[in-house]
Amino acid sequence: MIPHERSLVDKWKDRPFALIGVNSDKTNTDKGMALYKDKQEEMGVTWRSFRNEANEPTISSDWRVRGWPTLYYIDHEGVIKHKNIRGESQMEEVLEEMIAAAEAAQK
Amino acid sequence: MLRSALAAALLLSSPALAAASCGASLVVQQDPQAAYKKLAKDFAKAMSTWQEELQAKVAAAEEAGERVPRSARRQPTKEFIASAQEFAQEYARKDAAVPFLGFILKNASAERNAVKWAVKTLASDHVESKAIGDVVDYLPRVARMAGRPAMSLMNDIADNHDDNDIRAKALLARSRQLLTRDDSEGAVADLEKVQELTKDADLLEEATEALIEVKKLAIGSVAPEIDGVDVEGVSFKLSDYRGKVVLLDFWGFW
Repeated sequence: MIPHERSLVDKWKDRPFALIGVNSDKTNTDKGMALYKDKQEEMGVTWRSFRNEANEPTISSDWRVRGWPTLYYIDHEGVIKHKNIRGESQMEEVLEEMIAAAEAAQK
Repeated sequence: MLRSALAAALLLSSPALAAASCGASLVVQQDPQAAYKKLAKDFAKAMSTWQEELQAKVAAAEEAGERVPRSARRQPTKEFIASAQEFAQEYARKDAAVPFLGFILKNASAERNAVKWAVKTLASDHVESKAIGDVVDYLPRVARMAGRPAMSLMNDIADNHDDNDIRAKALLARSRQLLTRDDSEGAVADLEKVQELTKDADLLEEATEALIEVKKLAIGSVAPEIDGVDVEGVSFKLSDYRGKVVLLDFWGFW
């Protein structure tokens, strides 16, 4: 999961694409924050995440997340286009299409 | 035939029930509503006693560095479920049986046979009754114990009941069930059906609120704003990324 996501961030670094996490490690505790920092280094997490626990109610409850990971595909206008596509090749396919649409809108 | 065989099986499996059914004439003299209230009250009391005792046992076990015995974690449901079954049998085929059947659906924690029996009894004896509207909410929660019969009973009520308000209640219950499976299209269809069918203000309000909630996160909707902080403590918003495609990933290392 993480290596594939890192490769997406790399691949589209010069195009209108952002991977944004909502991290549910218990970063409101010292232990959870330490786990996050260690693992972030170790696993090479290069993208930004909201701290789920820092919001009240939590972001995941606001978004009615029932399982992890949950993925939302949001286009350049902020519209939800897909949910929970998890196959790597299909992920890339739909994102490529969405990125192309974002670029077309820039012109 | 099937019914009596099932009842016999239940009697055999439960000595308490077998003994109690000998004294059934005592039960029948009670007013069903009063009997139900008493059962519910006694059950609530037993549950809170159990919870207090469990907490004390957990604390004591932690102190002693021991494990809490599994038996202490078992909820004291068995005798109450058996008792609800007796009442349901006393009032068999009458509306008065329905609350007791509902009690079984709502409270059984491990009494799988009782739950299956309650679902079957509701389906065979009460599916056309108006009283069944009070128990439809419990059907999704027993789906795992009772399996397909619970779902088909709910579907039958949702799609076919003569009373539109009762259909609406079943549709609301089903829409909640569908949402837990991420089927927002199915949920929206059920909720819109509720709006068509009922004039009951509470049911309408519930459907309308649920629809707003579902549509908020539906494909085609503008994503709700997220205003939060990153792991470095820096504030940012989801809308900061307008103009870019965002893959929003709810995740964790754990």
